Amino acid sequence: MRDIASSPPEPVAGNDRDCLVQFRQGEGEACEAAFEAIFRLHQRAVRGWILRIVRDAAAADELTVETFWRIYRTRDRFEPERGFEPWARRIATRAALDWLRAQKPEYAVASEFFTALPAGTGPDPAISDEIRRKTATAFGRLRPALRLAATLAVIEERPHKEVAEALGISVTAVKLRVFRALRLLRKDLQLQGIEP
Amino acid sequence: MKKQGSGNSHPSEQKSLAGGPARDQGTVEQLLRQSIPSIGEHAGQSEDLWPAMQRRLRAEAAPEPARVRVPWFDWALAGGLVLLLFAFPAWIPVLLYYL
Repeated sequence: MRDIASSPPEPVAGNDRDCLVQFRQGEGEACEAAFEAIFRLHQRAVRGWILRIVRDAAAADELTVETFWRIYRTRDRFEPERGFEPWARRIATRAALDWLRAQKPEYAVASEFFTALPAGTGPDPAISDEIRRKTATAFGRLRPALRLAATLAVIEERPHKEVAEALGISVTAVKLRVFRALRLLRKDLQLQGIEP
Repeated sequence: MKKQGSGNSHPSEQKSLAGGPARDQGTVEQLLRQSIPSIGEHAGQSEDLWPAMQRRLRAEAAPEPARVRVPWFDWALAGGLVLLLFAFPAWIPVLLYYL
């Protein structure tokens, strides 16, 4: 998950694996020191993953803390041999999904994500702003679970396997959710007079 | 991309992209990517969140002040009793006697 934030790893006390074992088994200060090291090492990657889902920088910060709190609270269920990142990604995805469910049905993509695009990856001039806005709004009306799967698999182009692991479902279920999301989006756009 | 009933759309939007379901899905995917761009490479550097995490850990570790939770039906019962005594004040001495 570290590639998401594309940031250099931060210094961590001792070996990463030892740190994870200490975090799981340690008590008191040893556990907290290990937790701090893990937090500093993975916070940017976890935040980057959450930001991809929620598209709100302030919410991503808040949910990163919430994710690590859940990680800290359920550390006895962590299996070091299965790796920290998939586990963290799964917890982060669940926290982000909870956040999406708590939001208003109308989904607004922050304008900063449009303006921040570098040259070359900007919007296709053939598609008007109005259509893009209507598509984003229609996408926001989808159920959060479908929206989340489509966001990660289609918009962020993450591998279906990674999305499946993050959501705790099968690859087939991810494909089905993406298919349903796109079908519903298409129907919604058609109702608005847009024929994709 | 075709927008029905709109006279100011771009000429290329008028072009219908007919095809099978897979192609239709591909078209919607493409439209979605154009409408909501990926932020993968633009996640940005956030500030260090460890102080916020520490605050959260401290807040969760602090003992919660004792709160007495009264069920809603207790409030309803008390409210009913007050109304009853208000309607029939003569019952107040009887109630006090039995208390």
